Amino acid sequence: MMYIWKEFLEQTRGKGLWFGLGMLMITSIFLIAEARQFPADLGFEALLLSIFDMNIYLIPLFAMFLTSFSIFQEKELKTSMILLTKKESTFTLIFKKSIAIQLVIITAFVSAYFVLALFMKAFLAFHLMSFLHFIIVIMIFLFIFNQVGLFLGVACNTKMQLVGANILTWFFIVFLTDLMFLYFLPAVTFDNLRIFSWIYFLDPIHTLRFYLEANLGLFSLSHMSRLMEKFVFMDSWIFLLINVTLWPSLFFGLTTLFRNGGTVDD
Amino acid sequence: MKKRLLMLTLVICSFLFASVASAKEEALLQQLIEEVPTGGTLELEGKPYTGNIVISKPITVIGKEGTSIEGDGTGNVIEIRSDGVTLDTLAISGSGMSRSSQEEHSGVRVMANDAILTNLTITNSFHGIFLNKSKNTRMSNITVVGHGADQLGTQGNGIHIMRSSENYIDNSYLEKTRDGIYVEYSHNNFIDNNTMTDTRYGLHYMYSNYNSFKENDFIKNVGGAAIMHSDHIHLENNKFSFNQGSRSFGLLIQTSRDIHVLNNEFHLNQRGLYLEQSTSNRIEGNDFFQNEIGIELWTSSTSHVFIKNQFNNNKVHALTVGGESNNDWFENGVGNYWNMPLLDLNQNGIGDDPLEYSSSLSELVEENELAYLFLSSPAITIYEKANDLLTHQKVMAFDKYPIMSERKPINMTGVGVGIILVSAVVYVYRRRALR
Repeated sequence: MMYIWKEFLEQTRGKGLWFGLGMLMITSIFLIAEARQFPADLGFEALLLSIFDMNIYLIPLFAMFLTSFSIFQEKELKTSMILLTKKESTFTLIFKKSIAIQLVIITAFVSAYFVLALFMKAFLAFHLMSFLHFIIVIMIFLFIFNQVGLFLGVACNTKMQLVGANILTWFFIVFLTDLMFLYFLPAVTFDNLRIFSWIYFLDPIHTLRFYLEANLGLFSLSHMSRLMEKFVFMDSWIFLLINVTLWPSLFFGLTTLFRNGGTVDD
Repeated sequence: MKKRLLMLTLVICSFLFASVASAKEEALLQQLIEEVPTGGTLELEGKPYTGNIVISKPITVIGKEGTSIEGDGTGNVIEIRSDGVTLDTLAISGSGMSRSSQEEHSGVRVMANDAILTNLTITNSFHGIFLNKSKNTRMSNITVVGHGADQLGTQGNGIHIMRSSENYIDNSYLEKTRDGIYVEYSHNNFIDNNTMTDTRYGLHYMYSNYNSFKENDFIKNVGGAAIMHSDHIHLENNKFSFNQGSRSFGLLIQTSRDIHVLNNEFHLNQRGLYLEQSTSNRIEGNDFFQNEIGIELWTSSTSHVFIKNQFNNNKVHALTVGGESNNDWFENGVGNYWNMPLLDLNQNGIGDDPLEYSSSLSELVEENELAYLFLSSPAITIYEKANDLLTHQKVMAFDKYPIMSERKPINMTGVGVGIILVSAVVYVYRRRALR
């Protein structure tokens, strides 16, 4: 509880969280204004998908910056050293810090979306179930990239290094992976499709978008070609579950493994 | 033991009497129809009646709220064999669903001319309405609800028009059937102001010429409307939206010519318009907005004219797949609006330079269907730029006279007030911080 309270105070007193939330809300309001031109029936779902497309750029960036700087500050201000010499092990410190960060960041962003829901309700045909699916996706999105940020914060030695690492990771996740997919695409055949499918769906951005599209009714899973049927060989929620378990656990494991990455022993 | 015997007897009796009653009612409805004089009107009460019935003379059957005719699940619920029959305000259900029977059954089968079908709700039937060699049937305010996407293959169409001409359908709602309206070997039919949703194709033409459809709404189907092997069709002011899926489209034109696509809206489809093996079609004044691909044009499609179309916020405005093709993107000094920066120094509403819309995605799409999965990806922009630098891009459309946007002037007062407000907040914040 103490960690959560401390994290809450640090994040709310800093500018980063407010800047992130502000950016998110302004861009979302623009999209809501644009969505008023959409057909009424499914315009709300199309808006949610547009907001998700925008979040592909914003959420990894903000989540990684906020969390990595939060844990980096523990090292910089020597609070982690004090805690480690007194009562905490590295594992418990990272575990408690992870819980605190996840809870504070996810709550802040989800709260912002509930405020935006008021605008959505006022200007569009609001569908609660669609909105809840969207919120689940955003929570998972944040959950994964918060954990990536924690890893980067622990692994880097200097602030400059950390900024570079954040931007490179963001660029790799958002642009380079898909670019690699595009260049490898001609090599995908019906025989090796399953391997491609696994790699595709292990990218959380792909899975989250696919899950959202399918559950908002904006991607029909009926009448697919044989190729597509083989490609979507498992329910989207199972892929989602795999992503939500695999990536945070992996990065939590890496964080504990690289715990000394940023500290210098005297 | 006695009690059990009594119960058993009661159950058997109830079954026997029930079947006698329904048989009576069935006989009664057919008998009532037989008793109506030619040209007369049969007014039904607001209660359930049992089908199946055959109408063999020109009469009007009119129901009230609550009037329903339930078929026995073996044939057509209502079969019209005479010219000039009118059905009004009926709920019809329970046609045969077998696909191995001699014919495909339906809620209403029309096998004559000049029928008027209004205010009908048809459920639990293979086809909703089946027109066979009928002329001048007028269908208005028809609702057909099918069994949904899971059983699309095992059910029929909302309205099935076969070898029939000069029929009119308006203000109807077709949902969850295989095709909403299916038209085969039928000419000069008019389909206006209907809604087709959750179907395979909202409207499907096969070998049918000189048809027209206007002001229909095709929403959330596997494909909005499909025109196949049909010529001289006019479509105007329709809306094609949310037709999403790996193979979905707003409108498909395949192996067809002289189709006039005028002033339609294509919103949020996987592909707005999909053209294949077609020629000499005219695509004019349509709005392609926020589709994955605005127009997908396969090389086998030639001699098309695209003018006055608006392309806004599509991931890809136009994609020509399979190499060069011969199509015109302007006519008589008028092109299309592309939502791209252009100069118009002489202020004539036409861009000063021709517009070459190029892309490298066509090869990717041609090689692998999975390319569609990446159209929304942020990486697409980098991919296009990289291929642009490496000159791998191909010209998708050449518009010699691109139309300038009709931009609204920016509200400078609003912008000014906004800037002043933000500056004031920053100033006050800084002053307080300095204290």
